[in-house]
Amino acid sequence: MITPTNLTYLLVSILLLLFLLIAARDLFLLFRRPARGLGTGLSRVHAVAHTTMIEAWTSRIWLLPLLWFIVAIILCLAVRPYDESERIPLYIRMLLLSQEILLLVMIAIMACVSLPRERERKIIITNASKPLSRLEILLGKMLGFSLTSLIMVVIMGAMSFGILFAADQWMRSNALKQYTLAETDYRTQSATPGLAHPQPPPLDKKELAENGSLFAYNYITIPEDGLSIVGKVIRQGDKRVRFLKGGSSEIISYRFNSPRAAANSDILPHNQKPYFSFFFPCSPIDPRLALPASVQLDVTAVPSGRNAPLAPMAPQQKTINLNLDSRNQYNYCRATWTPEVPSELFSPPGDRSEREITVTVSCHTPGVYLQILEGTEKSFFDFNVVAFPAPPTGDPARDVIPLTYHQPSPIVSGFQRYNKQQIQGPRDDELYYFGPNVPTEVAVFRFRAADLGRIPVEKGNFKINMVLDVDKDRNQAMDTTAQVEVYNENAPTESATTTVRVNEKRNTEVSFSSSFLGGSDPSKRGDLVVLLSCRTLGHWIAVNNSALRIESPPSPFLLNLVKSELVLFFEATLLVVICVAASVRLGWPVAMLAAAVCYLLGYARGFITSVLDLGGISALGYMDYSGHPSRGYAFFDAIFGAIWNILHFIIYLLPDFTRFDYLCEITQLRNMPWSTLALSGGWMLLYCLPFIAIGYLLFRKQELG
Amino acid sequence: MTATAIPALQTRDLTKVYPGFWSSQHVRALDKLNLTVNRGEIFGLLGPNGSGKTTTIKLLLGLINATEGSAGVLGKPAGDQIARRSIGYLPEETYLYRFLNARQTLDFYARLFNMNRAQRNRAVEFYLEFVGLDPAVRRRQLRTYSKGQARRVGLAQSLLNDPELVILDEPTSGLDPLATIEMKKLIKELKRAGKTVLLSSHQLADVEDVCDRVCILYRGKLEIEGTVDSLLEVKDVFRIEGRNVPVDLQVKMVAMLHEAGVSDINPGVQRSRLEDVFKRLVLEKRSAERAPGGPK
Repeated sequence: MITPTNLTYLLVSILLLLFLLIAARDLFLLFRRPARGLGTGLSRVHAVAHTTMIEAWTSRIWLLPLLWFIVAIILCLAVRPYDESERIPLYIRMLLLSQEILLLVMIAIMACVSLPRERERKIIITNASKPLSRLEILLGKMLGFSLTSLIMVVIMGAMSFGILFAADQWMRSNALKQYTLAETDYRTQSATPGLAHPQPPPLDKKELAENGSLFAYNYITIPEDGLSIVGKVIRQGDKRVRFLKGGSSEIISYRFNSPRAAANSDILPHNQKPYFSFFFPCSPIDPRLALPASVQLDVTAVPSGRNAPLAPMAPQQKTINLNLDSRNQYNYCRATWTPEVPSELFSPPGDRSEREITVTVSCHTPGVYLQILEGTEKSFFDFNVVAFPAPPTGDPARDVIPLTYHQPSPIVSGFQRYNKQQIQGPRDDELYYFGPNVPTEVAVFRFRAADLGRIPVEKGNFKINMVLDVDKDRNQAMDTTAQVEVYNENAPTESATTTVRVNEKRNTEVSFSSSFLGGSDPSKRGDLVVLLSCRTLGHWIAVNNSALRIESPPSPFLLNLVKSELVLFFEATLLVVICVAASVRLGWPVAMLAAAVCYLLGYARGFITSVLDLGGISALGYMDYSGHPSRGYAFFDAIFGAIWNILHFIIYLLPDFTRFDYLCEITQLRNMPWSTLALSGGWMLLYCLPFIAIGYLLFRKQELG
Repeated sequence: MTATAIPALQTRDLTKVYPGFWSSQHVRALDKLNLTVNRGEIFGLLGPNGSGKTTTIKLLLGLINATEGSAGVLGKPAGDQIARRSIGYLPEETYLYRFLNARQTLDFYARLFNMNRAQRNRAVEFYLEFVGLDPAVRRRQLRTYSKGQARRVGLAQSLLNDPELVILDEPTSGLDPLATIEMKKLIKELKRAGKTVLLSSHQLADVEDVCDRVCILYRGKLEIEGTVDSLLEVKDVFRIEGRNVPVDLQVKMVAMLHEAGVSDINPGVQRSRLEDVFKRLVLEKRSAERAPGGPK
């Protein structure tokens, strides 16, 4: 099937194959001595690279570290962090970002100018009259500028470390002064009769004075889909069951795989209208109260994934009532919903693409819990949402054949703000009914079983570190209390619960027995699940994927800085390769423009892709609220869709520069895993190959006269 | 065929058309050129501007692609990387990195021929001395060089690899007369060392002095080809030269020739060439400067 990704792979494969065939002899000569008095091509590449480095040096690239140092010092003196603990991460961000901007701009200009200038001044004629192949010239240029950027990165990296070290020393000496002063005050106050509750000296200052803040912490965190916010989690035998809380801001997202693959037939034959069937076992929040007669749900369905149709892309949504069915001992409610334009969600006849659909559900009715069915077992009663191919016909044999089921373990998210989700503490009315054991929203963190073997254990215990943000509606002066429960999926009936005071934005540490990490046999180890809830009236706790983590011993900061600088170097190298390849045929201004467009589109890849996923013009805020798109709206949506589709295809041919994220770990004082570094290097090589091939194919027969 | 039997250069119907946007704008720079240069000879490529001399050289080096025909250099196709190992090329202008100094320039080109550091140092020193580049300027960037100085570095780079075939495009352009004489001497020395030299020049006197064979191109076509002697020989003219000939004897000789019916008699005093005067003057000044107590 032709998708942008497949087409990209196909084109790149053809390009590389063509390159290998045409450049076979030049590639062979890179590693072999073809004649007496002639070395390998690599030695000639090295010679060209050496001269290119001299060229960069005489073009005054040595000014770059000096210029950067001045900029860095000005920035460091100018900024004032809100919190002293954020000073070093802020400095790191500024130092590395300014390095990136200056280095990339300067090296891109030089790399774009070099070959066109040699052509202009005809130096290339003299060079090409020597036993130097075009491939060697190209590789020599790329290597030369790449090595130049490496030298610059090393120099600026060393200077960065110097600046950070000096800043750390300054912070430590300040912290020591403040701690000594506070300690003296405390002693004086303690010795003064009549003074009650003297303030003890701040321990964080002492810690800062002793240890500084240049660390590269090693954390074990949950995977990307390891966090969910739910209304309640209860144990039912060996299973934990999640509930959505009615009247809350929790949203369940159900993803449907390709309906075609599931149905193995045309999805919409003979004008049939597929529909969704919703099924939720429910229970009241207050067991003393009866369930409401109906439960109101907001449901939305959007095509998603790479094969989503382009236009129109607005989500289809509706508020539906699920009617309570209590004819037997189980309380459950169910309803159906037929989307207005099913062909936008499901594949129409003849369309062989495999689409994905995301259905989101939130509940408006307070006082009710809806059970989230995990969809892990192949039974109707294990799925909340099922798609059927056509409205009921009355034929029981036909009506029970579903089109597709949702994927297992639907994702549940809470109220989102600033990329964080919030869990609410008990409310007044709930406290009134339930007393201190009121059920509250729960953040469920799932650590992978594969990571548990790396967790350090001390005296039979392991520690969980929490960095939590707190919002307070009421009880402003009161500390926030959180309840933490852990269990291993291998033995879900055994759990431990503890209550801790939350240090806002600081590390809050809790200890649990290492028995929850599972046995020593990795095959028998289950996921570690941590349930976190807020227990203070009127307080909210904000969490994200890295809010809960398990610490390993830290790595040296210098090594982490080196890793980040290396990722920056990989990025610069890729840009150099693009610039040199672009300048083979183009003049330097056009080559520079081409490289800049390539770089910017490489960064905008996520945005361009997500706009398609989210839904065309509506994703940019131009929503037609009437439900009946006007002609103008449809026209512009079609135009926008076409442009976006072209862009979407182009960006798949360009390198994804967001893969070179050298700031992500170090600005959080986290150690960059070696695998991330290796992956960045691998991506760099992979992205460079097509550009080298294009550059060579354009350069091979270029007339140099 | 033995290596020596293979001609140093050979072209067959070599044609080059520079394309324009419209077919009327196409330029036929070279038209079915058939040329053979044997090993060990000095071959002169002559012609007015735009006759296709430089195009021929660029085709032989593989810098541009032939529209039709083929060319072979030292038994390999034109532009072959291995063949280029044995070629030295001096372009019509000095096309070298202006940010490098003379040593760095030669060192860079020596690296391309797989010389180790010691070999490179030896070769660089030898050729800089050989082309007579002033030691005081050797560590200055080429951007500060005069045209003649840059030309000498260009010449050094073309000889650096001890080439079998030396292609010199306007070798005396930008050189003072003394250097021109030295250049001609050098070309002859190359021939003595068994090298093949392809020389393209406008300075017909220079070509006449050094070349064994020449060809003349006009609008991309080969008009004439042969040895210098055969081309310059004028069979119906007789010339006699002598020193201290008395004036009355000169008058008598002219009268005798008239009586014998000889036409186009051109008597006169022998004039020396400006080149000889320049050479004598400069050499005298130099020897005076070098003499003990002489002016510095």
